[in-house]
Amino acid sequence: MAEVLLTAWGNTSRGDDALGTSLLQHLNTWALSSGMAERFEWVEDFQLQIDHALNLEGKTLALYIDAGQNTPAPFSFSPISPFKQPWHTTHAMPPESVLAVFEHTFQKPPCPCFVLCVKGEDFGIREGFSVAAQNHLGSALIFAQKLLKNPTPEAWRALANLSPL
Amino acid sequence: MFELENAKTTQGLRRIAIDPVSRVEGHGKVTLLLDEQNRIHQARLHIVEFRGFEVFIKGRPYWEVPVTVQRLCGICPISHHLAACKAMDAIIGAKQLTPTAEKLRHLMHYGQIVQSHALHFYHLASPDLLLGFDSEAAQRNIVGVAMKYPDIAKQGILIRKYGQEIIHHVAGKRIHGTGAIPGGVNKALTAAERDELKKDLPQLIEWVQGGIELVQRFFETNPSFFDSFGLFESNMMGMVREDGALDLYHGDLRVKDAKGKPIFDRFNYETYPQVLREEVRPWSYMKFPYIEKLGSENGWYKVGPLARLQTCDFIPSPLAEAARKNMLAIGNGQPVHSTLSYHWARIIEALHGLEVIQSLLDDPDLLGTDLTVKGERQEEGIGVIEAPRGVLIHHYKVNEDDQVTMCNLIVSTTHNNQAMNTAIRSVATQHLDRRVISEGLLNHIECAIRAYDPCLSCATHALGEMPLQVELIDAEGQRLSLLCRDSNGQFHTSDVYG
Repeated sequence: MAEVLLTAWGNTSRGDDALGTSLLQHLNTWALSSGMAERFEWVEDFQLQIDHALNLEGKTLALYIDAGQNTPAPFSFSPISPFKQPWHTTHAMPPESVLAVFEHTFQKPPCPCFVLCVKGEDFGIREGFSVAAQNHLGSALIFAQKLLKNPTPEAWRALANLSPL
Repeated sequence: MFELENAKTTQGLRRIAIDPVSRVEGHGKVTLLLDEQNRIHQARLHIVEFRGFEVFIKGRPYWEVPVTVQRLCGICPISHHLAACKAMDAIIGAKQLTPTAEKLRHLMHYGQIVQSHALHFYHLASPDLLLGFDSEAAQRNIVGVAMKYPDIAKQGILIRKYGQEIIHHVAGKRIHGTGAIPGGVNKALTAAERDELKKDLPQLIEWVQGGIELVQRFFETNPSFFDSFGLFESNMMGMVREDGALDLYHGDLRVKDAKGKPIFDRFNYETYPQVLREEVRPWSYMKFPYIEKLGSENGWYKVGPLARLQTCDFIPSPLAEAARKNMLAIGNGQPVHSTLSYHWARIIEALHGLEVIQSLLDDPDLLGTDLTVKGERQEEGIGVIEAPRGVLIHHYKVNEDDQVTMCNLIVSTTHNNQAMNTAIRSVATQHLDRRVISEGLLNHIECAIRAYDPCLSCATHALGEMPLQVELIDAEGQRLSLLCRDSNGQFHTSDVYG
C-alpha cells in the first residue's frame, strides 16, 4: 500500500475551483512517466467528506491540494493539524476537520499533513481557468514535483518554510 | 397569501438575518422581521446564489450531459447523472433497457441513497441529536460526535464509504463516472466486484438498524419536543411503482394531501409540465413549485424521505417496511408531519437502500454483458428520479445536430422551498421569545432547514469561507446588533440590543 496520500478536490464547472484537481492530474501524469506513481495514493473528489478520514489510515505523510480565493499568489504551502475548534460548515469539510475526525474516531494522531492551496481568481460557473490561475497552476506544479521527489515530513517542513507564504 | 411570508408593512419592524445558514449545502440566508413586542411579521429563507446551470448545458451534445450534470452537486452527482440519462434514454428512443443495465443503474442509485443519507444522518443530524440541540456550538458537529461517540462516528463513515464504493464499481470512478449512458450502461460488473460488495452488508444493515433505534428513542424520550418542532401540515409528493410500493428509481408520481388522501393517485412524470407550475417570488432566486389545479397557496407540497414513506403503500423490503410502520405509529392513524421525523424517515430509507443492494447483488442479471439498447430518435426527453432529498426532474430538448436546445431542472430542494419556509416560520414562532438574538434561536432555525437536507448549490470551497452572520436591522436599515460566528467556530458580538 502506498504510504503517502495525495488528495485534491474541486468542481470543474466552477472555473478556478478545479485548480487542485487539475494539479493532481498533472502530477499524476508526471509521476507515471517518472515511474513514481505507485509510491502515492491518488484521491480526487468534489469535496472533502467524513470518509476521507479513512484514507489516512496507514499513511506516513499526506498532502491536501485545493484552490483558494484569498490565498496569496501563486500558492501557499503549510503543515496542518487536527482542528481543535470544530468547524461549522456545509456538507463539505476542511482538511483540518478530516484530520480531527480521524484522530477521534481511530483514537490516534494522523500522520504529518500539509495543504497546498493554489490561488484562484474566478469561481463562477464556467469551464477553464482564468489567465492568472493558469500561471499559478504552473508555479504550483513545479513546487509539487519537488515535494513528490522527496516525500518526507522533514523535507516538506523545510519547503514549507521556503514557500511563497 | 402565506402567513408570515409578507409583512403588511416594514415600518417599525426589526430585521434579523442569518447569513449563511450553516451545515447545509451551499448558501442560504434567513431573515426575520419583528415588531416592538417581538412578534414575527415575516420569515423567509432566501437563496442567495443564482446557479445558471441550465444555460451552461444548452448547446452541448446530448450524450455529454449525463456526465456534465454531475458537477451540479457534490453530494448527489449520481442522482443528476441518472435523471439526465433517463431523459436521454427517451431522446434516443430507448424505451426498455436490458435487465442488466436496469439493475446496474438501480445498484448505482441505491448506493447513492445510502451514502447521501449516511452523510446527512451521521455528519449533519447526529450532532444535534446526540449532543443536544442547545449544546455548545463549537462541539455540536461531527468532530464533537467523534470525540464523544467514536463508534457511531466510525459507523457513519463506513456506511457512507460503502455507498461510495458501490458508485465506484458501477460508475467506474467515484466522481465524473460514466457508468450510465443514454440507452443503458457502459460497464459490466465482475463477479469479483460483486463478491467484494457483498462482504460487509450484514454488518452495515445492523449498524443502520441501530441508527433507527437511536432516533426512535429520541422521539419516545421527548415526544413533546420532537413531535412539535417545526410542525406544519402540507401535501406530500413521492414516486411509487405500479403496485404502490416505494420506488426511488422509476415509477409514477403520487400526491397526497395533509390528511393522507390522494390528490393524484398517480401521474406519469412525463406529464409534469401539465401538473406542476413554478412561481417566482421577488425575494428569492429559488422558484416555488405547486400543483396547478390547486393554485400556489394550496398546491405546494413537500418531497423527500418523510413524504415518500407516506405517499407509498409500502416499502418493498421487510426490515425497512417494519421500521416504516413503527415510525408511522406515532401519527395515530394520521400522517406524520413533524419536521424532525425527516431524520427518522431518512435512516429508514438508508436501511431500505441496503436491503435493495443485498437483493441486487444476489441477482444473476447483474453480471450480464448485454448493456445497451437503441430506438427511434426523439426531440424531447424527461427523466425523473427520487434523489436522496426528493423528486428530481430533468427535462431536455435536443435538435437534429444533437445539441441541447432546452434544459429545465427542478431539483428536490426547489420542491421543498415552501416547506422549508413554512418550517422556519413555525420554529421562529415557537422559539423566539426574547429580543436578543440568541445562538439557540439560530440553531433551532438551522435545525429546521437541515432536516430537509437542502442542497442549495455546490459552493466553491475556498479555505476560510463560510462564516455565519446575524444582523438585527431596523426598518430604516440601521444595524442594531451583530452576532458573527467566524470560520473557526468562534462567536463575536459587536453590540448587544437589549
